Amino acid sequence: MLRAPRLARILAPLVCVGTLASGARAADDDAPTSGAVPSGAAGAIVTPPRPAEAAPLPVTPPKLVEFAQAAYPAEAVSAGLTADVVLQLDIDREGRVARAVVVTPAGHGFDEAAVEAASRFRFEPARRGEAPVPARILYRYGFTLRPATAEEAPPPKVTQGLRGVLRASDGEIALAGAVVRLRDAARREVSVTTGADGAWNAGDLAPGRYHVTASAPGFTTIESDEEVAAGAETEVVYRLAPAGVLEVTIQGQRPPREVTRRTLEQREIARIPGTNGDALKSLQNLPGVARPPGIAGLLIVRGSAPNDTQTFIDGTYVPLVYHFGGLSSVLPTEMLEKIDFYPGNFSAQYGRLMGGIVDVGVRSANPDKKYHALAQVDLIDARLMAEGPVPGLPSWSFMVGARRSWIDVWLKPVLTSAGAGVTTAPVYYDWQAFAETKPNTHSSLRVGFFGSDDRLDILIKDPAEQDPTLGGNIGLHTGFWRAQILYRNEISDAVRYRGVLSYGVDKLDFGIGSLYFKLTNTVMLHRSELSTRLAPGVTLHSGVDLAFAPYDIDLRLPPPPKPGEPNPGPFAARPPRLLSTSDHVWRPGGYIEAELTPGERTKIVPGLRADYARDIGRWDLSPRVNARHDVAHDFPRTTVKGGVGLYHQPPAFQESSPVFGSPGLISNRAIHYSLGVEQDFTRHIEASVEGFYKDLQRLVSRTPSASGGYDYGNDGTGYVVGSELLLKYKPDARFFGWLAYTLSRSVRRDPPDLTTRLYQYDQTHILTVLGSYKLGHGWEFGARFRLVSGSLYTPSIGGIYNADAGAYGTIDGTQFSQRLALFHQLDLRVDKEWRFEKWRLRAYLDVQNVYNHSNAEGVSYNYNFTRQTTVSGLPIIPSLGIRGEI
Amino acid sequence: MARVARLLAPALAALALPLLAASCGDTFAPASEISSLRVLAVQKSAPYAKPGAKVRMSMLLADGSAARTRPVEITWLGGCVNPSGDLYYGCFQQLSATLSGLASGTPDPATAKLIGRGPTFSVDVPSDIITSRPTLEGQTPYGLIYVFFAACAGHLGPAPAGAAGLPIGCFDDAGRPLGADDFVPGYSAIYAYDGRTNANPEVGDLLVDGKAMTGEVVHVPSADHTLTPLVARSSAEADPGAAAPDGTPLGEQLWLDWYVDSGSVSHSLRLVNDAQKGWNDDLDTVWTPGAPGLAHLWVVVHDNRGGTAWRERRVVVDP
Repeated sequence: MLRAPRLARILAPLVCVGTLASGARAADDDAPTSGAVPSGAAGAIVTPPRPAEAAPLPVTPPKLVEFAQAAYPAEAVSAGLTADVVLQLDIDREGRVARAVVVTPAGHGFDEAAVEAASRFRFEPARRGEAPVPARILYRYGFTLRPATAEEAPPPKVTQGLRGVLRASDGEIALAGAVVRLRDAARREVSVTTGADGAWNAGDLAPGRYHVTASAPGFTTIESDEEVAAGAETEVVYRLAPAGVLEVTIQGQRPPREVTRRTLEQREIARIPGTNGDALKSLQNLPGVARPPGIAGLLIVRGSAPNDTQTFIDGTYVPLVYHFGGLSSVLPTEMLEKIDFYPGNFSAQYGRLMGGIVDVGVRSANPDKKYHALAQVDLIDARLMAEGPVPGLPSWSFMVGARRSWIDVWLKPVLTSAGAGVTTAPVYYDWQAFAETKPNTHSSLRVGFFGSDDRLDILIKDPAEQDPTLGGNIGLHTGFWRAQILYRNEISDAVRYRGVLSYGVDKLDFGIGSLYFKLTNTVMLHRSELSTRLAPGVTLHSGVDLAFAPYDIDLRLPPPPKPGEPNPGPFAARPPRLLSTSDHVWRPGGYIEAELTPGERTKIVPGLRADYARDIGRWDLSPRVNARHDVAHDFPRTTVKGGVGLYHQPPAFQESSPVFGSPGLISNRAIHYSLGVEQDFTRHIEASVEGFYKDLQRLVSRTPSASGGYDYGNDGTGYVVGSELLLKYKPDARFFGWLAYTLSRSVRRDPPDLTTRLYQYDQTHILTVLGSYKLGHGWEFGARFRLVSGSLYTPSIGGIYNADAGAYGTIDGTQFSQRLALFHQLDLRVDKEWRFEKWRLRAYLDVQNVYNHSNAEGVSYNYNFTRQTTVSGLPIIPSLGIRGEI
Repeated sequence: MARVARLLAPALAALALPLLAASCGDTFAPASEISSLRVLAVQKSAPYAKPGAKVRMSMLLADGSAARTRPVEITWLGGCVNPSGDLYYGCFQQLSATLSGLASGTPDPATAKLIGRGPTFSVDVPSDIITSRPTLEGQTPYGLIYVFFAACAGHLGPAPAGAAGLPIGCFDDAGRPLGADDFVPGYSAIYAYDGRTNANPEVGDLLVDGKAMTGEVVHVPSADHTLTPLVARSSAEADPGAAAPDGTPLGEQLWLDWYVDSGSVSHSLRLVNDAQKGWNDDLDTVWTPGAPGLAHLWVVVHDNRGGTAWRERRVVVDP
């Protein structure tokens, strides 16, 4: 077996220049804080002056001029191992490597070999103005094995090439439209342009050494020499620093504080078939997330009720995730950096919930100081987006967007022809505006304003046969807006602060005939977290989580059935109750959480959270602990993880309301247990298997009252048990995909006899397989297949005539004792991108339910509940979209 | 409180499913086509009664089966006052006791008064019906009586053991239970208020192709006919218990049901008056007769406070 050192990749070309060097700065909250450089004493690196204080001289990063080959470790050769070693290099004024420190070790002799080779590198020194200055950079030294010799493994056709990805050094922002030039020894030049995801591919190349130059407007150009070995496809990642900015960037994911954090990257979100590129719909493809019934846009996480899971935008709670129950998300995909999803055992920073957490991260505006715009239209809506520097405020950038549905254009005639009087056909809007500044290299301030508005107003002249009260004027208006300030500051190497303050209004106005529900909720939210590294391996996170919400509520509705209560009959048969009140909710919370890393392999995160709910007048204490241990720390990594914790969720409004419910309730409670393993198979393929158990206690449910009827009480119990598998191919230049499978069982026990029944959101099997592949020439093809147990429903065993409504009401059989047929569906998506000199055009075709399977979504009965039929879901639906970007 | 906004998501999902059903899977014969034994309406002399009053109840019955002249037993069961949670099935235990008393042979006078036979029945509203129950916050004090009934093209008797619903069944001469085509169990609620009243809607004539029907039976050709009910606008009363969030008074919600025992109609239900938007003038339906011969047409108007009225016409469809 022949072996060959592969290539060198420059990660972050520049960093601490001259006397400035403050050690590592995390690119974002997830970056590790380890690897920082000591400071203070003579000979140590001194804290740099802040850019505002420094003379604004142009800065030139160091340039590698002499590469040194590392010896491939014999141990690694015999084991067939490859590795990347990330080094921190201190480069002196003469361009020599004064010090090389391993930041991300790979073991097996790779670290020593990389350090030895790097110490022989020669650089053109960094310069401030014309003066050479010391600098610190991160450098990834890659080791790959050359393909075997003919005797060992005879590939008949030997090809080789060079391809890679270009990203900004700050975060995972892909640099699209950048130019990568390759020059061989004969000075022949090849030039390629990066795609939307920052990927580039120089195609087949002759073996040899190539000088690579990558440049993007607004970023520092980097140069590197790469070795293209015979028969090897070489892949590199370059990270370009914004021009004129001095920083150290260490890329990498800090192990989560939670047992399981699933992160979707932008490209994955945008290309998953069957979602129309919608951000939050993509979540439904992850393990632990059930398929919502029908056309409902619900997040059902690990057998919990949809209300047990909350969505945050950069830490700010939002009441609505989807427009009109699932048509599209309230935040456009193009504005997202990532979505973090915690299906359970989440850390103490989140509370008042028993289900899961979705935290959506909004990206920063493109830092290239140029203006960009995007316009997209599909069959559902149209949107516009723009970003760039704020005029007159050079240190600020902005990002704005707006969207309007246009289903009203075609749905209004359809409804009208069906006999409905349409005042306002269904229409939705959402809007976003963000402005951000980074006053220095380690802090950022972002001001945001975003919101959503959905409304319809129709007059149904043919009331529903089974409940005539549900006719006449139907009005719906839901909306919210938030003004948000997000501040992040890495105060020092050991102290980090993150705070988000928001103010906004939630509106819900729903009416049918003489029944209505109107809520105006003014929401003031604040979350702050201070992270302090007390000692090596000991970081303390402490935070507050405050919610204050004055509200006005007016409603006229019959009381809803209590959990486990039979169908009370048509609305017309029940007297509505009135409520008109103003009050406020006050729910302060605080937490403290330690992040203990006794060794590089182990992380233990104990935490304690305290929450007060004014509406029930009680404090809830929620201790939690999560832990991870790398059984194999080096690649291929093997991690075992687990957690146990207490979670509380206050009762819902209608449960504790004196008018509709029973005062005196306390919070629902759940104990989450989980245990799992994460395993790397290759650099791109990883698997995660996790078992979980949720012990549900004190559930608000119906309970016998003194009068012989039922009230609400905290006597319900239950459990959810299951396991999840995620086998994932992480995104590379061409492909991403995964297989997700969840096996679970969700059970409730209703008082008074604690009869055990399956919970209505139980789905035994949930299998999702998806992938997307870039074919080249701007084409990308994706497919998604889902196989899911049918939803549960309560069968009707007959009807009883309600003479006042003139309609039958159902007589329920055993609650949720029947299951619909197995759901399966294939979705396909094709994207095509055309690149022009100054702009790009993208079109996509997203076809849902390709083989037009008639999936059962519910059961419908005839007027007296003696006959039933299955309600089918949506047929094959092609959706075409087109987008232009500059 | 922020979570309140999320409460409606499942409700909207639940609402969406019937809408989906209506568009995708509904292939059943509509309720307007009478082909079996049906109770079409029950009218109370006073939909809102005063404590101590007597309320007379009348049933509109139709039998669309092949044997239209078969005998039908009608039984009424009263006596369920202010059940737990105001839920009709909160009465079933009490009804079982009443039926047991009946089955014992000679019921006591109090029990006997709770039971009636035939198309009408009278109910005495207890004078303490309002004061005997706790007042609910946000609610004008009221009392509630449920009256159950059963129409049976056979013989009524106790329901088989383990059966859910009304504890009464319908059996043929051989003692076999009869199904929904021959047996209609149901109930009606009487609300009692001290100061509120509600009148039944008023239905005048039922026009066929815009013409008033004169005489007992009229002849019509075998073709589509437009049926028009003459509903008095005064039927839409103010609903003193209802006001929009901005304080605007709301009216009653009224709707009507069309029924035919021959052929079909284009609209089974029509909105008559919306609580907010007011009167709807478009109440017509188009009737497509079935086989030539005698046909019955009914229109039943309901309000959302328990008021009911109807008009019935018989026509002969000529060949």
